[in-house]
Amino acid sequence: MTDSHANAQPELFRHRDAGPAKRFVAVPGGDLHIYDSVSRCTRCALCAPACPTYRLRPDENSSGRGRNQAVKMAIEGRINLRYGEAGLEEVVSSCTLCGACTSACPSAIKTVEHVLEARRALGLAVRGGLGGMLLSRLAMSGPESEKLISYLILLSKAGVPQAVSACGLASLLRSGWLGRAGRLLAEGRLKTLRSLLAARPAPAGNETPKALYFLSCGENYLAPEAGLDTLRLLERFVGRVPVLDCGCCGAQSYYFGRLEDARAAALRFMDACDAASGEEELPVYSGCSFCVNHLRNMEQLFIDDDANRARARRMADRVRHSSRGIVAGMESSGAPRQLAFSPGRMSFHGAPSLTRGEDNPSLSLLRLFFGEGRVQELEGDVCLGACQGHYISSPALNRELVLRKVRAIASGRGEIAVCDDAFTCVQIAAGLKKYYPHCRAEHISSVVLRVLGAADAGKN
Amino acid sequence: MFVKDRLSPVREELSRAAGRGNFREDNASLALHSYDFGMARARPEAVFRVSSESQLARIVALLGRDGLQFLPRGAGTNLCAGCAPLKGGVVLDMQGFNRILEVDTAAGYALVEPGVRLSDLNAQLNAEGWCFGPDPLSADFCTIGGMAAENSCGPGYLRYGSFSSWLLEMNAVLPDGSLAEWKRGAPGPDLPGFFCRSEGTLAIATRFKLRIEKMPPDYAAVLCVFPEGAGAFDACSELAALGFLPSFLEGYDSADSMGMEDGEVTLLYGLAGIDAELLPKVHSVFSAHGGKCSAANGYDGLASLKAKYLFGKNSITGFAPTVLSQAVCVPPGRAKEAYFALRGVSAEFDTRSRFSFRPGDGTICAYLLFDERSRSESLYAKRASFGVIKASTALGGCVLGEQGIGVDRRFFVAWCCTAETVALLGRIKAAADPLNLLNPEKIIPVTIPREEDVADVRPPLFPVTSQTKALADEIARRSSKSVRSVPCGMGTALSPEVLKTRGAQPLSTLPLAGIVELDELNMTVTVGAGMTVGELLRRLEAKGFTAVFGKCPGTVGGAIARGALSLPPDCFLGARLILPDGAIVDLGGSGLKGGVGYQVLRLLWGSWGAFGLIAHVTLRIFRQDAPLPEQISWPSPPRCYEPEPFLVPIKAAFDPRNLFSPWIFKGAGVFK
Repeated sequence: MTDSHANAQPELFRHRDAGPAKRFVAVPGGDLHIYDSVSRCTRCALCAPACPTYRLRPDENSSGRGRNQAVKMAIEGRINLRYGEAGLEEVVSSCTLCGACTSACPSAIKTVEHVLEARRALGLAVRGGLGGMLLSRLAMSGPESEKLISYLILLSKAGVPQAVSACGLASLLRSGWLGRAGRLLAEGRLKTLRSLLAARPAPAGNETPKALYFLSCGENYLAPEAGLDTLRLLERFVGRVPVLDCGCCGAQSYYFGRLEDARAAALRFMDACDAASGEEELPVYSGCSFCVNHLRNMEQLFIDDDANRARARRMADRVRHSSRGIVAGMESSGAPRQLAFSPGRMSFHGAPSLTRGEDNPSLSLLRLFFGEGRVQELEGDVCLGACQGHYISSPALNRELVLRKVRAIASGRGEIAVCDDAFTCVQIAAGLKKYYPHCRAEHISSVVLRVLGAADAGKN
Repeated sequence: MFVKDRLSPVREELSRAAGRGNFREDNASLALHSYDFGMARARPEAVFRVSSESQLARIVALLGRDGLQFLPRGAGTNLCAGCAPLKGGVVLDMQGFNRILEVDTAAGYALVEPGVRLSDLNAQLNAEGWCFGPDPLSADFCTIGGMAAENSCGPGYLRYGSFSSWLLEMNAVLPDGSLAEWKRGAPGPDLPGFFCRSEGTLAIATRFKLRIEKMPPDYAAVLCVFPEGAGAFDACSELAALGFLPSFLEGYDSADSMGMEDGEVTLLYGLAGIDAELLPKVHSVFSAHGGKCSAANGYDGLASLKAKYLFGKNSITGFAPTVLSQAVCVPPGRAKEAYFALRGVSAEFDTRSRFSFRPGDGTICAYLLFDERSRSESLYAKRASFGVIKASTALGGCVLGEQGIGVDRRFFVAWCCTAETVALLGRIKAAADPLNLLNPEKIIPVTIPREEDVADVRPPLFPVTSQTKALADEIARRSSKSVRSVPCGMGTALSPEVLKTRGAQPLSTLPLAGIVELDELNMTVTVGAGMTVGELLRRLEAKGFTAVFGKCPGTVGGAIARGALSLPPDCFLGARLILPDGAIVDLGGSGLKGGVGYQVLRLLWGSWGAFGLIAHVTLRIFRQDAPLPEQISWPSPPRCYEPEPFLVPIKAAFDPRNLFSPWIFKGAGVFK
C-alpha cells in the first residue's frame, strides 16, 4: 500500500471504446476514480437485504457488497481479468442494475456503474453481430427504428425467432438470446402508441404546455394503451402536455455497453426537450420508471464533456415519472382521493428509487388515491431487471425472480399487480398467466384512470 | 508461486457430497469469501454451499479426514474477521439453511435454521403478535447462526438479555462430523449457552429452538438530541436510579462532533408494555438535562425513528471507506468517564471516529474511520484501537464479546484474561476440536504478553482472598496426591455419607461466605460461593435490591453447581474458579457484559463441581421495584448422567485426571 494512490494505475480496461465515462463515477461532491468509488464500500452489507438477487439466492456473489468488492479486487489484480474469470462474469452479469443497493447504502455507492464498467471490461458489451445491429437501430430516432421493430414484432408473433433458436441455428449465429428476445417481442403491439397518438385529434385551444410527455419504447411497443392512459392522466391533472417523440432514451445501449449510441440518444433527448420547452424548462414525464432512472443518471455519460454534462445535470432534475406529476396535480386540484372502493387486492411492483429517501412516486400515487394499507407489500421492490434485458441476458435468474414475485402475489391472493413500467408489466403478466391467472398485471396509469372513470360515472 | 492443491485428493468426493453447483473454486468466489465486515482477510481454497445437516456432516467428515480446515459463514457481517479463513481450507456457506421450520405460539418457541435472517424471523413472528427478544442493529442482514456465534444482544439488552437467554435447544455438527443435539435443562451443564459466543470454533449449528414471547401491546419511544454527551449520560443514570429498564437504548454522537471534545449526541430510548406509560417521565428527565425530544408511539414509531436516525445518512459507514469497530464494555457507572476517555484517544491518535453507546449496560463502540489503502492512516487507526482498549480496561472494562473476538481482537483477550484463563480457553478449544480444523486461529491469542507488560491494562480484579488461596493450595496438594474431591457447601445436596461411599473428600466452600463487593452503581454483587442464597437475598433486600433467584436452600455456589436456580444466563456475570489442579481462573467479568471468549460460566451451571470449585460469583442485581428478566425453571440435572460425547473431552480440559466429582459421567467407555 502506498500513501498516495492518486497516481496508481488500476486501469481496468484498455479496450477501444475508452473514455472518461468509463474511468470515473459522478457522485455528489465530485467525480471519483472508479477505484476510489469502489473503495468507499465498507463491507457493512446494508445493501444485501435490498438486492433482489441476494434475496433470491443469499450468497455473497449475488450481493451488492460482493459486486463492489469483486470490482475492487479486479482493479487490484486479486481477481484476474485477463484470463477469463467465469466467476466474475457471473457476479456482474447477474446484477439487475436496479440500484436498490445504492438506495440502501449509507454512502450511496454507485454499484450499478461499477458493474457496468466491469461488464465492459470483461467484454460483455454487445458490439457486433445481430444484437449489436439491433441495439444500434433501437437507439436511433423513433420513427426510423419503428419500422424495423414492428417487423420484428410481427416475426416474433409468428414464432420465427423462436423457431430459429429451437432448431439450433441461433447458436450457430452466436445469437442464443434470439429465442428469448422473440418471446418478449411477441408481446409487442403492432399498433404502437405512436400510431395511436397520430390518430388522436389535435388538442383544441392554445393552452400553454405545462410539461412534456416522453414517449418511451416500452410504452410504445409493449403497452401503448397504458401510454395513452398516462397521457390522459397528465392532461387531466397537469394540463397541456405535448408528446416528446425523439426515440429511445438510450438506456438499453448504455446497459449493453454501447456508450456512443447512449450518448447520441441522450443528446437527441436533450435537444428535443430544449426545442419543445424553449426557455421554460418544462418538467418531462415518462410512464416508464426505467427510462426515468436512466435519464436522471445521464450526467455519467458526459463526464468529460463539461457543456453537455451541465445540460445533463439540469435535465436530470426535470425528468420524473408521470406518477409524480399526477400526484402533484391531484393534490393541487383537490382530486378525489382515498376512494371507498378499489379495483381489487392490489400489490405494487416498481423499480426502487435511485435517490435515497425519496418515495417511489407510483406508490405515493396509489396510497394517495386508495389510502394507506390498500396496497399489499408483496416483494414489490424486487426488481426483475426488466429494462436491461435481464430476461434475455440471464434467463434462468430472471425466471426465478419472476416466479418468486408470482408466488408472493399468489400468497397474498393478489388480484391486480400494479406496475410503473411496461417491461415489468409484461414479464409479470407472463408469469401470472402461467402460474396464477387469477391476478392480472396492469400499468398504474390504466388502473387509476379506470377507477377515476368509474368514480366520475358514479358521480353522474 | 506453487500453491499446493490440498483439495485434489478429495475433490471428487467433496463435489459429490456438496452437489452440483454447490462447490466453487473459481477465483471470484474465493475472493468474495475472504472477508467480512472485519479487517483481516484470507482466501479460502473452496466455498461450499450447504443446506442440510446430513450434507454438512458428510462434508465435515471428509474435510476432517484429510486435515482440511473449514469454517461456517452466514451473512458475513461480523466485525472481527471471524469469517476469514486464516489457514485456508473451505468456507461453508450456511445461507442455504434459511428455513423457519416451525413457529409454535402456544408453546412459545420457534424452530429455525442458522441461515435465517433475524428480520425475516421477526416479520413472521410480529405478524402473529410475537417477537424474539434480542434485536441487534444488524437485524436486517445478520443471521440467527451469526447471532448465536457472537451471543448478540442489541440495544434492548437491559430488558431482553442476550441470545443465550433465548436459546432452548440446538442441533450441531461437531468438528469430527458427528451430530449433536443439546437441550437446556438436559442432564449436565448448559451446552446451548456454552455454544453461544464460541464464534463457530467449537461446533456448527444446524438448527435452533428459540424462545419467543408475546409482543407487549404498547410501545413508546423518544428520540432526544442533547447538545452535549455529558447530558445524555447523566440523564440515563438518573433514569436507571429511578428503576427504569428500557427496551431500547442506543445513542451516538453526531457527525459534526467528530474530533471535538464533546458535542451533540442523539439518544433513542424505548419502553415496552406498561412501561410505555412512564414515557412522560423519561421526557422530563431528558429535557431537564438539556435534551430536545420527539416521541413516537408503537412499534412502527420506533422503526421509523430507527430508520431515520440510526441508518441512512446517519449510519457510521457513510463516513469513510474503512471502519474499524472497537467495542468495549465498562461498568455502567463509569460509562460517561469511558466515553470521554475514548474520545480523547481518537484525538490523541489523530484518527477520525464516531461513537455509539448504551449507557445502561456500559457498552461503548468506537468506530475508527480511515482508508485502508493509506498506510499511515491504517497505522494510526490500529494504534487508536489499542488505545481504546487500554483506556477502557483502565476503567474496569474489557473488549466487548458481543461484537466478537475473531482475529481482529484476539490480542486483547490476553489483556482481559489471566494467563491461566487463556490457557484454559485453549484447552477447551483443543478438547472440542483436537485437530484444530474448525475455524482455527480465532479467539485464543497467538502470543501471550508478559505479565509486566499488561499489569497496567488488565481490568482490576478483586484480590485473591486468603481463604481462596488456602483452598487453592489444598486442592493443589490433593491433586499432587491424586486425591478425589468434591466441592460442597452446606451439604444439602451431597451428604457426607454419600461422599464416603464415593471415595471422595469434601472441599468446603463455607469459608468463602460473605459479600466481597456490592456495587450499587453498576448493579452487581460479588459474593463468596459459600454464602447461603437466603442470606444473600436478605442482605440485598436490606439495601433495596434483589437478585434473580428462586427460593432454594444451600449456598450460592452450590445452587449454581446444581443448576437449581432459574437464574437467567445474563444474570450470572462472572466467577472465580479453582481448577482441580489448584490453578485459579477468572471467568466472565465484573460488568454487565463482562467476559470474552467462551462462555465457560455456562459449563459451571449444573456441573456438580465436576469442573472445579466455584470460589466467588458475580451476579446482576435489580432494584426491588424493577421488572425482572424472564425466569425459566429447569430441572436440576442428576448427579450422575450419561454425558453428551462433546462434554467428555471438555471435562478433561478442566480435570484431566477426573479428580473432581469423578462419578459425574456414567456409561461404558466414558472418561473415568
